[in-house]
Amino acid sequence: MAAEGGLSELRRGVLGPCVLALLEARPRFGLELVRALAAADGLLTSAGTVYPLLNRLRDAGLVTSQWQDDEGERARRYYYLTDEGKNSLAAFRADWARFSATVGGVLNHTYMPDGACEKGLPR
Amino acid sequence: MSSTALDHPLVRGYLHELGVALLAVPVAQARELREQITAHLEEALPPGAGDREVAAALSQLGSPADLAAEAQAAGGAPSRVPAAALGWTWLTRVRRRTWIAAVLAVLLAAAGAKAADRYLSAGPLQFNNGADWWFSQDARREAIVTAGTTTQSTTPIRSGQLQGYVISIFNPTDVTQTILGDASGPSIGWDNPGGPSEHIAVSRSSTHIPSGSAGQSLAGNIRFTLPVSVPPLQSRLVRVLWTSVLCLSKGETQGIDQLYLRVRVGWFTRTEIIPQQAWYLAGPSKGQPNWRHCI
Repeated sequence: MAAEGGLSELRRGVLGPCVLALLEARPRFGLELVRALAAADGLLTSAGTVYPLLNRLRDAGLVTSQWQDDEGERARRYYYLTDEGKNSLAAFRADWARFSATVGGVLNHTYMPDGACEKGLPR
Repeated sequence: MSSTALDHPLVRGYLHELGVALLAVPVAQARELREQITAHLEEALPPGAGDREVAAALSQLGSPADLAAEAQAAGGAPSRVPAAALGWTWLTRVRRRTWIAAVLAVLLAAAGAKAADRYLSAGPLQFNNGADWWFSQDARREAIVTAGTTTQSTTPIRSGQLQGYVISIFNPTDVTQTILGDASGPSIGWDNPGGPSEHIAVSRSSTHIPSGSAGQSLAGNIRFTLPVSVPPLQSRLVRVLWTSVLCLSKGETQGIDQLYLRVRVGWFTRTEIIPQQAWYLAGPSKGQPNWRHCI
């Protein structure tokens, strides 16, 4: 398995919850979100993919968008987290905590799928 | 140097490529994404951004093809997908002759379905009120009873002899109906009042039954045969003969009031049940029945 290919799939899977998490803090416009995600190392390889993702989240009812035209500022489309989005994010957080612990355990040999727990003894 | 970032040739080229790539995406979705990418570039690039800066921003966005693929993966049925994208290019390679044949086949099928519907929806032949016993001795001795729209004609049974009647039937539909012969009714073999042996024949032309005389008087002029076609809105005479082998005691009667015909309408053959006047035979006209012919 190519490491980059696997990482790319993983990145793709977690990008949505990461967007929801960023919007949980406050509403953001597109470029703002892109920059925040790009700042997280390795999370975003292609800025343009954020927009189709936002549209997908919007269609799923997890985010909503609204144009804001503040004086002295250019008109921007801000994205907000909906209640459904909040619930989805909470559920993902719980799943992710278990999932990442399991994956970490397997990768670090602290957890074996057959029930054994032998740190440092790969099978 | 350009006045706004969107005027930069690299940006214009990128947006053009994006527009082409988004042809495979539903219109509303494509428009929205293009608007988002445009706003992104407008915001990310300062007016008069240099080539290197613009190229870096476009590189960060990803290729138009990747964006379009991502948008397509986001869902929604493609509304204007080029044939090539769906593997439909074979359609353009189909020969003209094949297209013509296919169109003709479709037209023929449609015409066939229409004709079939016309045949299947055509109503049955109808009793046209003209009716009489076929033989003069039966006609002379008939007793007619009419109650409302129902007419019953009763004549003495002549056991062991040929008896019968003739009626006029009318085709009220707009399709030709061809009478092929008799069809068994619910009581098989008893579709005439005298017994199971039934002989049906139809006149080849439209004729009225002369009033006051038995059907047999037509025999010299009219040819009865089978099968016979009844064109739309025309009538024919149907002759029904049988040998009376049924034995009826004195005062006993036996009759029918429906005619069962095998009829072909277009491509379909069916049984038509034609309500008609009631034909009855009455038990013995003279003394005891002729038991030798009884069944």
